[in-house]
Amino acid sequence: MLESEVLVPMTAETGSKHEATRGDTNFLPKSPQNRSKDPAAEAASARRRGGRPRILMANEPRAYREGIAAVISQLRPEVEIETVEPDALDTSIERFSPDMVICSKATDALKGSVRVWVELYPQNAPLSVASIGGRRMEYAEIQLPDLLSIVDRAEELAN
Amino acid sequence: MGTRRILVANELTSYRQAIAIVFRELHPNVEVLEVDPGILDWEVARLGPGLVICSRLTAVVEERAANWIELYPACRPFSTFCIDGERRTMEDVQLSDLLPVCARVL
Repeated sequence: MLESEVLVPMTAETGSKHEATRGDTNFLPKSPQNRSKDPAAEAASARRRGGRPRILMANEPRAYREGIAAVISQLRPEVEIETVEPDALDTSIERFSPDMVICSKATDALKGSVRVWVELYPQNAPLSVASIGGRRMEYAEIQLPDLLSIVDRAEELAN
Repeated sequence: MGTRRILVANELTSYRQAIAIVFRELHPNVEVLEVDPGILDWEVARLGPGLVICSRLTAVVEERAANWIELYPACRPFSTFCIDGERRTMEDVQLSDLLPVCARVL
């Protein structure tokens, strides 16, 4: 498993989609913890937080699950993240009590107990579905910045 | 061996982005480029990468890329590595299986 500490602020796709693209750090959403420059607001936010937001990842295939987990861990260090096999999703929800789940197939247990979840590429198709505080959203081709924004929203809801 | 350059051309965008980011951060001296799978052949011919990671192996990749990994074709659990001309198939590849390849070939 990749040690997330080895990753540093990430780079991402820029320019035309019709050419190979190099990295750029600017298109990714900043962590909510980095957005406020007001120390009082930051202190108040910290007081509201009872603990680290938890993300459970159960999507497949495995290397992609691990890759996304590593990137989220690096860019949102305040988040506690755990990866499990898809067939362990329901039991892991009971044990881990996540604030957000990313999986390939949303289960009834997930839908009934987790406020924020992403069904990422179900049946390996580009369409993904998210539920954010009960609001359903569809993504024709979800991108990493979209996932990070949902992580941020889950963190806000958890607070 | 080609330039110190990796083309990442997996299907499904966030997967491609995540893999590219991990490689960039672990190998900052290597150029890691994200490529839409639809133009992979053209980019392989143009850029001469030392390593290609893709979901669907093409004849051009097979012939012109120094090394390649066909990762989860059609999201099946089997992946094929071709490193220094030697092919092997792996089941249920982990991220930790991918990372040493870059260090080895570039």
